[in-house]
Amino acid sequence: MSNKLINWFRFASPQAFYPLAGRMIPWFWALAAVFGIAGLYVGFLVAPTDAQQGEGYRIIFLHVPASWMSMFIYLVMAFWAGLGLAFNFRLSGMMATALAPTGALFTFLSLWTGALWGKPMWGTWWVWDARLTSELILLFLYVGFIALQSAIDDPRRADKAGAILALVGVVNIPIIYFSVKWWNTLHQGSSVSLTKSPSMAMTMLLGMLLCALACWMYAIAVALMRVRTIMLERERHTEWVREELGMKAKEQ
Amino acid sequence: MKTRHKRIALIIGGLAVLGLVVALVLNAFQSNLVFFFSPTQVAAGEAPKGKSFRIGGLVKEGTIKREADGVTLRFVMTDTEQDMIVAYKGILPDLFKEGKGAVAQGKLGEDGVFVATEVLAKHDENYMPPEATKALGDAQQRAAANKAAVEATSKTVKQ
Amino acid sequence: MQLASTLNPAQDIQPLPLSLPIPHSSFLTDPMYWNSFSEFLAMGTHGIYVWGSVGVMVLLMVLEPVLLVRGQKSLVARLKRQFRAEKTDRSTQSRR
Repeated sequence: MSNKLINWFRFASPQAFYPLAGRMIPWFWALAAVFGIAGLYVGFLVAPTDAQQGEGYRIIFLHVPASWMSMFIYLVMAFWAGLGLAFNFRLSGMMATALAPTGALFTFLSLWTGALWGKPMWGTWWVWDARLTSELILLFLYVGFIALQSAIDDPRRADKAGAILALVGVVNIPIIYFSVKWWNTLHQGSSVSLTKSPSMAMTMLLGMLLCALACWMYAIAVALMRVRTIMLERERHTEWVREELGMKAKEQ
Repeated sequence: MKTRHKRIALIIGGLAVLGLVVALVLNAFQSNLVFFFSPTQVAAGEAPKGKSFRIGGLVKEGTIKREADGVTLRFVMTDTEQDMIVAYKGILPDLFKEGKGAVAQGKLGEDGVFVATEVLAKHDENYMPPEATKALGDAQQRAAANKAAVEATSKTVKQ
Repeated sequence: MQLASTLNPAQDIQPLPLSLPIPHSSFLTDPMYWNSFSEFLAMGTHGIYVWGSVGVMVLLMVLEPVLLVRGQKSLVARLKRQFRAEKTDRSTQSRR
């Protein structure tokens, strides 16, 4: 038990995590490629047309995974930020910082694919209904987090300020998720949720889940890549960075 | 010292802009929390009077008609309890169909006709191929027929 | 709340009975849905919307890792230069 705990903490230190992350990244890329190709194959080549929406519904294979990731990455980011605030782990602040741009990317993609889906189906690119508005607020939260952190030079203070913003913003996630239940919205309800059986044909559901898995793997791979860069930058004055770059300073 | 002051000003300015944006968005959010009213709510006088608002409901089957001028469309929106006549000139989304959900923005006229400036389609979260939809419809019909038959027999049994 | 359910008539028949003839498929053996490549490109009448979504999503999801690799490379190069400069600094100092 205590042994396990020590091991875990060992990997939580940047000098141990940096090479470990480097070794994991290719595997996550491989998985992302496999799931992505399978998901796009099922979604765009095999899945049947939709009775209501025709072929345009295929945007779902991008839109739903992007939207899920936009919310989930925020939760993970806030978790790391909160951990950093509470325990002052060096790694957690870096993880939160590394996740934010990818979360913002998926939020943007969710809004973009949603607009391109809304135009032909609903008849509009955008409406100010509760679902769409709260997702837009999520994008502002990500952008605000990134801007706040980059405006503060001292990484520790930047982490703290960012963590407070991230934790306050968590309130928005259940608002996004339940907006279609709590209020009248133009956006339809969830097709897939934990509380009811999915209201999708099996092939369609399979394609969507594969695409979602691909996005997960992509997000992990990209976040690990970014956290490695952040680690080198922030710890450039330490001995392990010199060793990692093969430039050990010889002590006399 | 100077760069630090600049930086603080930048942060405060940034936060002010962010705050303003959030305030504007929240304002939009609040005024659209009730994105649309149902015909029943409108009949009960819950909708704003003399102002533009949205109504949502199903397009009643067999009610879409073109008026004599050839451009204005007239149809009935229903929430199965109350009906409301909607008049609209303009482009309709692909999914606007009889028996399906729609949201119309406009004003309620003196004559009780809702004059819409924009009509959007609201679809449900079910995705399935056409054959499955048809099978589902058939199954429902069969179920309804069975139910009717059972009721009929139970009635005859009682008698 | 109530309206939401009246707006979605299909909700009345949920949960979906599992005996429904929804194709329980194995995607590996399923035939391709499209008859021709041009049909695939057209996506019914929604070609621009579907491909506009796919294009931007793929573009950004390629761009992000490319930028990250470049950023990492330039940072490593910068740090190496800096360390080397420090080393020569130190050695010249010690010679004096």
